[in-house]
Amino acid sequence: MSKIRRFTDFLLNDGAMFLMVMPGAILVLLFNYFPIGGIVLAFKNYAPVKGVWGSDWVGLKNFKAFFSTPDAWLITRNTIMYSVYFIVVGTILAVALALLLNELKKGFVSKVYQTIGLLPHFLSYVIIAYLVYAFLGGEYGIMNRTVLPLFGIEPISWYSEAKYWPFILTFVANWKEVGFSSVIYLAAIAGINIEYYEAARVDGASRWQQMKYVTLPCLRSIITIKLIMSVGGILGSDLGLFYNVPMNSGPLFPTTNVLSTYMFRGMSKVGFTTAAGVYCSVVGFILTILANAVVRKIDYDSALF
Amino acid sequence: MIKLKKLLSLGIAAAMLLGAAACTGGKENKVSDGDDESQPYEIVWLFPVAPPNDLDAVCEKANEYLKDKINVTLKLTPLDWGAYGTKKNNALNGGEKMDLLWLAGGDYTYAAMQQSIIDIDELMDKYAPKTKEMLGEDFINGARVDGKLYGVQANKDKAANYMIVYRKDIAEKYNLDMSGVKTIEDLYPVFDTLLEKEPNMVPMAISGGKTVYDANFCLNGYDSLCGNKYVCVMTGENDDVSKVVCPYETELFKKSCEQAREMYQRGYFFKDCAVLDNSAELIKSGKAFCYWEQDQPSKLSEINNSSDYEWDKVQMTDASMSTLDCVGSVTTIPYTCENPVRVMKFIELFNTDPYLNNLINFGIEDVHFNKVSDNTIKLTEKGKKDYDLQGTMWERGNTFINYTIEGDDPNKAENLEAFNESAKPSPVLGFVLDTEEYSIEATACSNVVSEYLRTLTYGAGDPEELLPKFISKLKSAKIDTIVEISQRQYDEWREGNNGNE
Repeated sequence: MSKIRRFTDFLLNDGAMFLMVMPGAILVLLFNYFPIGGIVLAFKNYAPVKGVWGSDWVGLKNFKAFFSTPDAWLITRNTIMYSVYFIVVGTILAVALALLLNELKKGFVSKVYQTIGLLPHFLSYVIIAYLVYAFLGGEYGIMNRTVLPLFGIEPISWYSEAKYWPFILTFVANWKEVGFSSVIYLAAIAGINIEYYEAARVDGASRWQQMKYVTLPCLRSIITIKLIMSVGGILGSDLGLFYNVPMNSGPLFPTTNVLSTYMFRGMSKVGFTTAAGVYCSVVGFILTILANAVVRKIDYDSALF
Repeated sequence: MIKLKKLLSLGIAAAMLLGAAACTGGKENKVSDGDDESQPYEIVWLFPVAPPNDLDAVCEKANEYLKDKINVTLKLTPLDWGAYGTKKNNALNGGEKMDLLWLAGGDYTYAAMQQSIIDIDELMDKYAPKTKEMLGEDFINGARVDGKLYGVQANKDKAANYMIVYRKDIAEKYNLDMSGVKTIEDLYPVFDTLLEKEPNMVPMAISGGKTVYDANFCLNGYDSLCGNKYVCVMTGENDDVSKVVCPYETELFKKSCEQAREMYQRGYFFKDCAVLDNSAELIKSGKAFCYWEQDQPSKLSEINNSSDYEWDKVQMTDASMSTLDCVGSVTTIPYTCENPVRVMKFIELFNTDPYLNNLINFGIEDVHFNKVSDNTIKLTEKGKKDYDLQGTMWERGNTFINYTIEGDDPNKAENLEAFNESAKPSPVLGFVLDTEEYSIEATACSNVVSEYLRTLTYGAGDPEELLPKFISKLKSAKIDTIVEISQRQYDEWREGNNGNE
């Protein structure tokens, strides 16, 4: 009885909060939990006529398709390498940008920079691919036509030299996303108690020292949480980035073929793609739990759960 | 709080179960005999072409007409070419209600093997006898999968040959002799002169399926086994037609890559061709001198009609009918169709009724086109703008009853018939490969092919260095297993087939 009572109390007191959570919760339920039942397809040879339950069981065959390539190691290496690049470089840049924006005390200028930084986030990778092509194109690209001759360097055929692409892709991905992810850090900075800064100033701390000894430590837990969450997606790779931006160019595969592009190019069957998805999710799940456990060991308060 | 957690986890579990249950769309195929025509039925028809603006108006007009005929309403659902592959797969996998679905090549045979489209032999005999007669037994047999027919082929060119389409005005201006071109090497001197006179023009525009490799294989004669990426049967004079081979391991492929490389280095192709597929823009904007094209009667006049420039052709090969030509354009009835009988009646009507057929293909008379004579029309400005199906009549039913657009070849139908008659049937006709058997190997091989094929066949990479890598990588991706499986199926088919003859 008392439990029900407590629940109704909770609804009455925090009903507004509850309502605010609802849309997000419903979305997660619909798009993340609702489709989990579909995992059975990873173990079946799905035929639409027979339906999900009626299709034949095939055991682990679908997972085999996924590991059958001679490039399995290369692809896994690429996927993880890029994820790590993006997490490390992305976090550093986003935090740095947030700190810099925060230092701009003039609201208007800060807003302008913020908006400009945010804009690329809303561009599709299909469009970005052509923007990149405008720079790197063999015949008419800005790099080969204007920039390289300035330094007396011979034109480079960017789309057939795999070695440049880890840098190009990291650059493009961060250019697109850094403005957006810095927003979260900016919000966290805005939430820091102003009294800390006042106390620091009384003690004679310079702007740089305030940033180093007040702002950064306050951001630590949000940075950790974001890290834990991105570790879970380490096997996920943005198809738009890896497929469109290198223009699906064959010679670049050694450094641009990742799990998602491999699936996209080779997998026509529902079973295969589901198996791949299950594999990525399971690995992501394990990694998230591990990362969280490690964080909890080091700093209990920063852990996510 | 514990209560709340329990509640939540229960809810989540329920959602998961529901989710799985909602996906079960499994249903038995059934051919109901009794079809009550007093009940209206809506036919949903999916085919690839960019949706025109006046689609609704045309549907409405068609529905008025169809109501009295067989009491159906039509819901035309054209989908953009680029998205068609994914969208039709999603619709099939998701069990969406569809009545007519356009499929081609391997997509058709795969859907048939999966039984996601229904077997229509019986229906066709009963409700579409004229269509059956019109298509002809040989052609229909080419679309049979395990002896059963799963779709109605479009009645169009039933064969293919290869030609080079080139700019007539430019050729005349610089006195370039194209009539003497018999082989690919004959093009070199022509292109050299052109490059000298028009340095900004790309001598040859190439794109997927229209490269030196494709041309060479067509010149030699081959059957792609419904457009298969990994195996084919070479049908040239010196080839063993009992052998299934991987096209990339043949001498001809090596030669093609070397030719492509030489042409690329001589500057005959757009420099970035392997990165940016802009052949369509090059051709349209008059920056390309020539390109490969699949030929059929009246194709040239159609090209000329829709282009700002004047084009001519050099025919390179004789017509031949391959397995791909037989299933190049098939209208199928998916398993989610609720009334296959009525749909088949509609197909028969669509294939035999010129009014209905041309209404769907060209729009409404006096709005989208004006009649010049009985069978010749002139498209109005509105027709060109708001109901342009981009010449995809070959996707839908009987092209022999299409109106001729003014300026097109008036004897198109007769020529087409003669062309079809003349086509040499491929010895592989009727064989359908079950690709399911090697689906695991195909995943790995598909990635290898996309890594090398474009670079090699567009001449952007050095074959001496890349080709051995390509082949060794195919081998480690188990291409040999695919060839073996295909060979076994092919042998079995040949045995069965020779017994029948």
